[in-house]
Amino acid sequence: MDDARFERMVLEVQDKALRLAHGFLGDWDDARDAVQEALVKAYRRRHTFRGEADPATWFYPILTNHCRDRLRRRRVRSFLLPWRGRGDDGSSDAPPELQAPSPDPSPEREAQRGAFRRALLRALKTLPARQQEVFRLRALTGLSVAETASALGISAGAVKAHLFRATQALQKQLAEWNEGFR
Amino acid sequence: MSRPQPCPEYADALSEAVWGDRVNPGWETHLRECPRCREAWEEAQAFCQRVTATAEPVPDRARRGLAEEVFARTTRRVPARRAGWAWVGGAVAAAGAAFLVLRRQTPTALPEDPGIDFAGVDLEVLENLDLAENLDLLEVLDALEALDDAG
Repeated sequence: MDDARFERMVLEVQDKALRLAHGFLGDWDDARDAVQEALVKAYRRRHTFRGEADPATWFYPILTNHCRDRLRRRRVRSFLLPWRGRGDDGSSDAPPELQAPSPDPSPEREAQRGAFRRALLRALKTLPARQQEVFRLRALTGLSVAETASALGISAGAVKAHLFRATQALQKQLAEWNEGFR
Repeated sequence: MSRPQPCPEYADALSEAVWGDRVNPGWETHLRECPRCREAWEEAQAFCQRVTATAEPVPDRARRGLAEEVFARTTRRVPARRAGWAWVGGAVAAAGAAFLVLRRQTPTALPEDPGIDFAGVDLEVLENLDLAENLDLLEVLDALEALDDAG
């Protein structure tokens, strides 16, 4: 991959990459750092890019692994330095906090959306790790099935199966919300 | 309350359709004919729309300048060799500047000697410099000779 192609790829993937990293890390500043580091790493490994592949699907596994490394380091740090595990606002390092956009000015709707979000994240944490990852990348980050498969190093069929099971389990756990929203 | 379950052979198709992936061509036909799958589909669709609505747009502060910072560290980075030469060039320039400053502070020429101008001196006189050193004595002798001549 030449420099011009690499630069095009950076501009094409940066938004999805930020959302992907945020899905893992739960913090936009961390996500930005992770994406930058992963892109520099990808540049150093650009000779491994096969021309026929989509550069994004080549880059996402590099970013996913980088995010996992950061999470591991964070866990070790919070184990060794437990008082640093939580931020000033009491938020934990581990769960990615999704924040809803606020196109709806109604405070009631906004509160309802916030409550659903918290319930969703709680429910998500009860799922097997692979289902969590697939759901985060496909449903919350908006990666395609192929991109999710590439990012996690699994087949598209496995992504669909995990996504189906995760969706079923979450729907079951959040059944009361279905009633509430109707 | 039990949730509606789709027909097992269309479970994958339902999941794909809900998340906007490529849909099995037979799915839509089946959906029109199967109330069980239709109910499951409607519920799953409502759930997924709610999930999608929780996704946060990427904030400007996360995106701003990111690509430029990456380019500065990769494609537009000053090559190491050039950086090395730049360092050497800088050192040479600094040494040159220091030399010029010191040189300006140090006198470059000796002050002119106002005493002796050798330009008009005869070679003979130069050869008899020892006599020249005794100029006072020669003047006294000249004075004595002048007295003799007068006397």
